[in-house]
Formats: sequence, structure tokens, C-alpha cells
Amino acid sequence: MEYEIIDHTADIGIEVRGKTLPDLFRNAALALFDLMVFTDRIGTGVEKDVLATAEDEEALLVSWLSEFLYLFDTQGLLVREIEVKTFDPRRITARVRGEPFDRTQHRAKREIKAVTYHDLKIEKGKSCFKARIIFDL
Amino acid sequence: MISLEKINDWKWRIPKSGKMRVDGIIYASEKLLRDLAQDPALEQVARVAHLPGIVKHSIAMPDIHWGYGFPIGGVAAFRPEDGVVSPGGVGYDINCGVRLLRSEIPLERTREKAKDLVAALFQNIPTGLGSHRKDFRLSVPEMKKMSGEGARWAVSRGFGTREEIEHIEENGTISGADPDQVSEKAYERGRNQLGTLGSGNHFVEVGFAEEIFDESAAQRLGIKKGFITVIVHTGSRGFGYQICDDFLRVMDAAVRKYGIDLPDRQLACAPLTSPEGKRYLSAMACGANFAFNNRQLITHWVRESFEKVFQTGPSGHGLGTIYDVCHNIAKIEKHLVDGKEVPLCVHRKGATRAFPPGHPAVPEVYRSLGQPILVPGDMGRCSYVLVGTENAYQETFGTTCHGAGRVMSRHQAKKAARGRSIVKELEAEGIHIMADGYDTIAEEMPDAYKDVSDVVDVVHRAGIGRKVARLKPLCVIKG
Repeated sequence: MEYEIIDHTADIGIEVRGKTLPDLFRNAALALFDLMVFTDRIGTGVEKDVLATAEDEEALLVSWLSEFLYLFDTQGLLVREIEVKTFDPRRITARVRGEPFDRTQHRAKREIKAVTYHDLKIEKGKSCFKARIIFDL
Repeated sequence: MISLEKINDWKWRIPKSGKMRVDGIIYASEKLLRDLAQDPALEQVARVAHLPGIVKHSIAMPDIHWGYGFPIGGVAAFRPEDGVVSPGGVGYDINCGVRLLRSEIPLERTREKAKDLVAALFQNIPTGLGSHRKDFRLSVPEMKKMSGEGARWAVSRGFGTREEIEHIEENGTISGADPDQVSEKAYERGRNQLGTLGSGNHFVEVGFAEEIFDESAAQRLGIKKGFITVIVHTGSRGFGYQICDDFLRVMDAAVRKYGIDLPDRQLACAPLTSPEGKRYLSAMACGANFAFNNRQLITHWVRESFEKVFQTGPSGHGLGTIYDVCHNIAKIEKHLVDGKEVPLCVHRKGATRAFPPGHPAVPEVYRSLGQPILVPGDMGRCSYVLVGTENAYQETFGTTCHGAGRVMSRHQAKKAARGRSIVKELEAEGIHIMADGYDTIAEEMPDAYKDVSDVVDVVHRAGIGRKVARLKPLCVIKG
């Protein structure tokens, strides 16, 4: 997994990396599921198209990750694979594969309430993009 | 760096500076302040003081810690004519709150059944990530009815009693709820989450009254030393989170539209007179009403669990609601400003209403006593029952603390728990715990929290809450 947990008193944060922006977005979403469950036993039987839009890149990251929380809460969807189809700083589309959460198959770690804008930064490093994201627990 | 002026041993001032409109006031002991030195929460108290229409002070309770925009443990009130409402002043978990139940069951009868009881609760109450009752999924029209009506909705469907409603803040319904202001997305997220506990710091705890500080007050509340109590701590689940999320976007635009000068984007807000502000309050009320119903349903399943384990009917356990309070809410209430009673929009984020004796909002049975308050601690130490005071009404818009507050990050807690069995350690102290999430027990272990006794001591000495009883945990379920 291309992320690390960062210390935060009440909530939980991650620092995530990606070679390109679409890569960064993909890794951030996979990290989100890794915070929620043990991901090794997620199958790929369900396919879905995901779309997120926002006014800028950082808001797009929040909106994109929030979309996965919505898919989990409404359809129980755990995502294993993400293929970003189109990307611009205000709109992302992807084809994702995963399967519905099943307590007998997937060990739960924790529930994520929301994705916050706190300290949210997307930075371009020498060889990759980096983002810090704080989740509300 | 924030500079603090000492007012007395329990109270500190952040003097107004720069664009702050009022002073910040922190309720804390020197010991608690030391823990806060590294936390950005004090800076957040100062930033809240920048908001338009703020009245008296930007206030922080002794369990304050960093929160999104407003600190957790923050209290601020705004004038209706030129003030604002901010979703960050309420939090994602709208009406996260606690309910306290009393019973007629003595501790001795419970010790030997504690393991069965914790298992029954864990089975009956959907707990943790993605869990919900298979027999409970609401249609969208029913969701709208439920979020408009408040706890009456659950009671009219046989979950609880009519008398119970009077023992809930605002009688279980935040007025002004308009279900049409809530997004389809929120309804979709909330549909199968009514009657679920969630995870994080949410829990159901069976405990007992270990010490009584005020015998006659305890008697009035129905608390007897050595008898079983139950605490339910949860909120509005995905329904509330989505409402908050939706309105953070609305408020971001409103800040630009109304030209509000903010020191931090997370304080996004809208004037109370604006359509955006009014819409948020109407949607937030729906979220709050969901949470009242949520705790009402869980209370019903707590009773069912006791009936199963003790092989008894309702009269055998006598589980009755003492009181149910909101921790995360913004409400229009009447308060004293310069000796005159005026309506204000009070934000409480991780803080509890603490209305004084004689206040008309306090249920008649408790009116001469003051509003009951429950301050839950961590799962190993204890929780406190208090009552509201006149001093709280004068100083803090009738507000007191809401819990212990974290002192370790989740990551630090996991490290500290490595190589230990927190479950066994607690069992050795007679506390039985079941949790759904793999990391929950480590992240929520007692050492990760401040000692709630230190926090309650401050509010008691500062006179913004009066101690009545201390409760000790026996069985805990967590998400």
C-alpha cells in the first residue's frame, strides 16, 4: 500500500503517494478501504463506474473519497481494483471492482465517518505526487 | 503561541487580539492545560472568536481537544440578527449524544451474568462497520417522517414509552426540522443505519453506581448505590455525516457570497438570517432527530437483552431513561445577555447542555434539581452523573463538559497496547468488553483518554455542573 498513517489525536490521517495524479487518487481510495477492513480477501465480482466532480483538485480528492464512503454505506461496496478512466482537476471517472462487505469474509477495522478538508494538501514532489488527508472517525 | 491569563484555578482567558471579537475562556486545571500545550485546540478557541455576531466569549470545556474548525469541547453563541451558524461548530456526527438509564437490578445479580449480558447486547445491537439489523430498513418517505418527528416516531412504533420522551433534551424533537432540506444521498446513507451503534468512541455500557456524592439528588434521579445503570453513546450515523458534508460545500460558497472574513476555511458558516443558514438549521434538526430515534431504538434492544439474560419482563429490570442529551448541536435558545433574556444560536460541539434548577426546559420531575447530565469516561475507569447549575446558565450558556477527551492518538494507543491484552487487563478488573473492529479496543483503551475525574473536578469546582454520582463500567460493547 502506497500510504502511511500520520498521527492525529482524535481522528486518523494518511500520507499517500502516486506517480501521477490519477495514480494518487487511486491509491488514496485503496488506502481508505485499507483503513476500514483487511483488504486481502476482497473479491472483484462487482463492477461499478464512479464519478466525482468539484471546483478544484483538492476538493475533488475529498469528493472522490466521499463517494466511496457513500457506496459503502448504501451498497456495502468494498473496492479492490480501480482503473481511472478520465481525469482533470475538476472531474474524475473510474471503473472499480470489488464486492459487498460480508462480516464472515472481511475483518472490519473501523468505520470512517467523513473525509475532511483539514490540512488537505496535494504536493508535487521530485518523483511523485503526495497528499495528506485527515479522516473524521 | 496563545497567551493565557489566569482568572482563577479553573478558568483562563485568551485576551481579545487582532480580529477576535470577544475573549476566549478556557475551563481547565493547570494539569489539564499542560496536556493541551501541544494541541492546536487553544488556537481554535481564539479563531472561533473571530466569527460575526459572537456573544460574550468563545468558550472551551476542560475536555477540549482539536476538532474540525471548532475545537471539540467548544461552545459559542451568536446573535440572530448579525450572527452565523457553522456546520463545523456542530460536527459531522450531528447530535452525537448520550442516554443514561437506571434500573432495579443490584450489582450482585449481574456479576455472574456479565458475560452473557455483554454477548446479548453485542448480538442485539448492530455494532461496528457496516452492521445493521436485517429487520430494519426504512423507505425514504418513512425516513422523512422519522427525521421530522423525532423520538416520538420510535415511541409510536412501540419502541419505548411516551413518558420517556419527556426525559430527552427538547423532548426528543429539535424544532424546525424540514426533511425537504436533506439530500437524497443522506437518506440513502441513513436508511439502514437507524438503530446502529457505529464505531470509534461510540458504545453501550452497563455499569453500576459506585459512589453517590449527593444522596437526595441521586434519589430524585432514581440512582441507587450498587444498582445497575446503562449508557448509550451514539449519534446520527451516515445520515448526519452526509448532511454535514453537503452543507460544508454550501457554506464554503456562502462565505464568499456574504463576504465573511474567516481565519480558517473550516469555520465556513452563513448568516443566521440567510437562506443557507436557515436551510442548514432545518437539515441539522433532521439529523438530530435521527440520532434521538437511534438512541431510542438501541434503548429498546438494551431492554430486550436484559429481559433475555435475566429471564424477566420490563418490570423485572425497571430500565428507565434518566435523561438523553446532545453533544453536537446548534440550537436557538434564550439566554441572559446584559441582564436581558434574548434568543441566541448556541453551538455546542462536544459539550453538554446543563440547564439550571427552575429552567422551563428541564423536565418537571427534575425541575427543582436542575437538568441531569451524564459525562462518560473511558471504558476502564468511570463516568459521572451531574446536574446543571445557575452558574452554568450565567457563564457558559448553560453548558458543561461532555467526556474525558483523548490524550493519545489512535496510532500511539495501538503502540502502547502492543504486547498487552487490553481485554484481559479489563477482565481482571471485572469489566467485560466486546468490540467489532480489529483495532478498536487498542485505540480506545483507557490510557488513550484523560482521566474523566480530572475533567469533572474542574466543572464541579468552577460551578458549571454539580456532581451527583460516579458510575463504574461492568460490560461494554463497541464498534
